[in-house]
Amino acid sequence: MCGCSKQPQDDRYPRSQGVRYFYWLIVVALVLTVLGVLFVPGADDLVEQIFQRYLGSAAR
Amino acid sequence: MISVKQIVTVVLCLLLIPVTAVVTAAVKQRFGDGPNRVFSGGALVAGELHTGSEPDWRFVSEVSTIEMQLLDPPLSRRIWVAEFNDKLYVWSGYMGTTIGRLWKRWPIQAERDGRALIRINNRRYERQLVRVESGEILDGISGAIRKKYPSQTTRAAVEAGDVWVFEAAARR
Repeated sequence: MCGCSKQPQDDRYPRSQGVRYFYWLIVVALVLTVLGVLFVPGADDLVEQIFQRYLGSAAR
Repeated sequence: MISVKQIVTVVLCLLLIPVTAVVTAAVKQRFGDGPNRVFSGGALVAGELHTGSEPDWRFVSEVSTIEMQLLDPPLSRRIWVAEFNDKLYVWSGYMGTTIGRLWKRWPIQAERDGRALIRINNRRYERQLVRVESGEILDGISGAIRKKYPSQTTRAAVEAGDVWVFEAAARR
């Protein structure tokens, strides 16, 4: 009984660890994105340029 | 086995990155002196304030865009400009679509309170935006717009409400 209840947890462990790594990766990517747009020269302009292109075609 | 829920989660998380970039760039621009491209900028601070008689607006034919700020709200944006019969005109397209009206909020705000400040070649001018909705003058204005820009603006489009045209008149 003890082994049965433990087995599924062992199966899930690698996946939940992977998900946790993925979420951390996203958090790091978001922080880097914010810092990059705020402080890398020209990054904000590039973002705006791409967004403008999308917006222009979507509004037609 | 990867479930649909996990795929949706991954896609949403990845979408967060460009969304964050856009929101950050938009917020950053709000603290700037003037706009850049699509995002509204802060109040126009730099540049000498024009006083005295009306300028000869024909010089704007050499100017591709101007910076325009409403007094309420004090946000600025970069827009096209045209001169016709010694008067200055600004306009907004896409007003006939939902996305366009969400994007271009300044025309609605300008109709409510037309007090504006424009900056051209680092010189600021106090203006009053007055909407032009119909009339023969729109033939001339839209002609001036088409002559200057690759625009499809016509009198019919303005009168249908797809394009909102404002005269940037002298403020009294």
